[in-house]
Amino acid sequence: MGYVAVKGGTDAIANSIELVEFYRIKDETPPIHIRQLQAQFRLAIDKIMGEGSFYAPEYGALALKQVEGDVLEAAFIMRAFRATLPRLYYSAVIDTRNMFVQRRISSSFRDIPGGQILGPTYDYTQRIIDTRLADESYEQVQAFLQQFSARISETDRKAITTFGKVIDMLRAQGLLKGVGNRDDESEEGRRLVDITREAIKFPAPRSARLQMLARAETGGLMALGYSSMRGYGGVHPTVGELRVGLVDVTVSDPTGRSRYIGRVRVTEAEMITKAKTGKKSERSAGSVPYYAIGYGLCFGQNETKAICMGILDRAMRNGTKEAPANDQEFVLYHTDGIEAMGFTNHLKLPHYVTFQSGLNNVRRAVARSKKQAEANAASAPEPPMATDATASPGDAERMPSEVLTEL
Amino acid sequence: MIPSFKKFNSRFNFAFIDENTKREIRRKLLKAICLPGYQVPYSSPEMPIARGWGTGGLHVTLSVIGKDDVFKIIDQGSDASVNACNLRDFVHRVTHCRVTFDTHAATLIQTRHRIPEEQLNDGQILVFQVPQPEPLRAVERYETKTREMHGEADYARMWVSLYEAFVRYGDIMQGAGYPVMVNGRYIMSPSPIPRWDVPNLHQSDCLYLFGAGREKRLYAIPPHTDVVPLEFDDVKFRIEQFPGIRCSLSGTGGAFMDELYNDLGHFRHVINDSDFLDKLVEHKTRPQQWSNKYLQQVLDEMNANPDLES
Amino acid sequence: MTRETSYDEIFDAQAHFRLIMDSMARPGKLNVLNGVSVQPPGSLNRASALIGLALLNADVSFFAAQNADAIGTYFTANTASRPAPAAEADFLFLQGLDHPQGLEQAKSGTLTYPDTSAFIVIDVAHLSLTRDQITGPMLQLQLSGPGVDGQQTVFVAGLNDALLTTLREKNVEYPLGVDSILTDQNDRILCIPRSNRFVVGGL
Repeated sequence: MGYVAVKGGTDAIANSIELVEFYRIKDETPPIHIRQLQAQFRLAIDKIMGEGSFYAPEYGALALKQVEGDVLEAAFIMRAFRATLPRLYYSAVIDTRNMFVQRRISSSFRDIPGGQILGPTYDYTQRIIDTRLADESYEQVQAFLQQFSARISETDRKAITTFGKVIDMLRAQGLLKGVGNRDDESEEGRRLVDITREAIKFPAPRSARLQMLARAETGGLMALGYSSMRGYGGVHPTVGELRVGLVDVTVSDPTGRSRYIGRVRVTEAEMITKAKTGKKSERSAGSVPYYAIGYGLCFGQNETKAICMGILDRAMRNGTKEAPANDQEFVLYHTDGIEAMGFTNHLKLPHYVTFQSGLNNVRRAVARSKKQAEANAASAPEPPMATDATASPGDAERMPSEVLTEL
Repeated sequence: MIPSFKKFNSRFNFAFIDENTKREIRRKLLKAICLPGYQVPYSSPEMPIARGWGTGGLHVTLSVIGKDDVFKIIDQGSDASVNACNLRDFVHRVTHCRVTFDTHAATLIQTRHRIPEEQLNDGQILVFQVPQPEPLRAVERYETKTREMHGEADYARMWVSLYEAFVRYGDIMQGAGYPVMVNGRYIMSPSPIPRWDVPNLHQSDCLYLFGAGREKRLYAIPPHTDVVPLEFDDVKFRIEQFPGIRCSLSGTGGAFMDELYNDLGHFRHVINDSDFLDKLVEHKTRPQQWSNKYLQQVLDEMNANPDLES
Repeated sequence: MTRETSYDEIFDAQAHFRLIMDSMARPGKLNVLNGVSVQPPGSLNRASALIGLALLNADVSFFAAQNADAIGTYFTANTASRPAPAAEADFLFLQGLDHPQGLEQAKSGTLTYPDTSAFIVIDVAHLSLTRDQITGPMLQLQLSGPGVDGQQTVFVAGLNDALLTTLREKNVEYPLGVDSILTDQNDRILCIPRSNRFVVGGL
């Protein structure tokens, strides 16, 4: 055992972990079963799966329970766990036209083929706190479910099919163009990267950008997406189509046969914006305006996220960095919740060596300027010219800041 | 009754990281060694430790560690810091390697923000946790551009920034993480070690590996490589000064000091490196320190004034 | 096709990687990759096979100059790595007495990403730090640069001078270049990272 109380740190951690456990269960209420969490905290778990980039609702429920309901912390646990799993297959491309649709709306048209389907949404629930839920009983749950299923007609349920896409109508009329960005048309731009297997390089191909957005933190995406709509960048899109539903996931086995491995719920947003018609020189007389889409897709039902993904996908193709939302590096480096949270919290780690190193410089600089001021006072009544930058009295009052980042 | 789930999977591989990722990190560490000071991008999968808390260091440690390694980890020079304790516990848990506080006994040392005072030898590897691997980030925020600057060895803006600090404050104001030129080619961040440690990167016997997990970069300084702190002909790099200061526990100087304050606001100095201090106090021996001209000057001054008290 | 059953993909790979890293960090330091009995196909030194087993996986590709089919099957079966043309491969397995053709085409990275370059693994007959260990024709290599304390001399038998000339040309525009590992028939390895210069003398 060393002189410094090494055991102290270990003991402190052990005690802290014990305290966490105590606070989690100290009120002696019945433990929450993760099946209950999975069933009744669906949207929290959707968020955890999306940001954790790991589709496993039961693990999401477990993670949520483990961290007392902190969604971002739970997503972190999911990411760490997923990193231990081998990448065995890449799934086949999913065509969301084949989605089993639970909700589907378009704000671009009053009516769309197949119809607007409001589905489950909190949008029109009126956010009045529901005091009846305070004493919700199992009997009430059963009564509601019985009454609800009695109203469902089996024949109607079986009649549900798939729906064509709104953007297909625009495309058929020649009003919608491809993503139309030079970087994305290049070979590198079209490369399908796996951001979990390689670090992102800039300019990042669109596949990498969309993957990063799909794992990004909802709040972060919302802040940047909102900034673009509000005026910093000017993407003000229309919801071409927003759909939530189940899609089948298949992989190819070693013999090349397609194998069904399960269904995942996803939210997909296709945001329509008017696109500029190329460079100024190309925008001469006769050039035709057209629409372009911004695309968002994430695990679970998380419409805010899918919409903001769509806005940012579009904004990042703008080709200028005049607004934060247009700037790939800015958007992608700063919206990963797991990374941002970790780095923010690392400030709690001791930094006394780093601080001492800076302190040493500042003390020397202050001493230097004091000495200089004394010398000036002794030799001449006039203060030195402001251009004497090495040691003007003004500088003495200012704390010298570090030149470079120190972390 | 709510039915239970059948089973949850929580097995993990030796050293936690899967073999595919280890191979990737190993290949990139080799590239890093072949390109001293150059930042190699890597996949940097999530660890069960938060980003910014040593994930890059852990990726390196866990990709190189074997069953026979003796592992030491320090944070701010101390084996006792909670984060060091936590990471030591994690590495031990996933590898069952021997762990030590003894700098000399370790074959693999992970560190945050310090190089041990005791000189490292050719059988040792020092792994740095790096928060911001890009030394040019303060003068250029875009990775695309800093990449180009490194590619072209176009470091003019870095020099200007150092010079501006000199003009304004009379000195290069960079504290910890002082930028260095490696092998005459790449400007590199040594991670936020104090300037005191920077000269020990030059022509060392040991291998230095750097892991920046959140930023997804690896880099290296092989042994016997030129590592020169950036300085001007008339404005020189200098290490932190502790003039006349002695450690209140060991009575000696010539090592990086911590300032400790008591409830009355009085402060005293204590040697920062916990193992070095242990050896001074408990074993009454002064371990072999690094030899560099900056430290030599400090030791010469100290020996010229042996009676000085703090 | 041989499926290596005695190779431990966790612990053998780790141990050999450490030796490769040690040799790469200290050019001129010869390490021995042993402890595992593997049965590589012809035109692949045992140490070269072990380098492949330690470092290849499905994320990277390789090129074999000689006996390409057998070596290709061997590495694909044991590492899930895939064969590729010399100009695209991440690892090139060459014979020391070969023409430097594959080497000429090897990827040497870009200025912004010089790490996207190939590793070159070259089978030679004999590596030694002393000349009296080798009989017959040999080359004397004098290495200097990062990792080398001053200068380091190595003697190599079974290596074509033209290969070294090409290697030097590949590495003229540092940081572009390739990083080489020479292996001999006694499982020794010698690394020549692109950061190092070398002078060749025939003996």
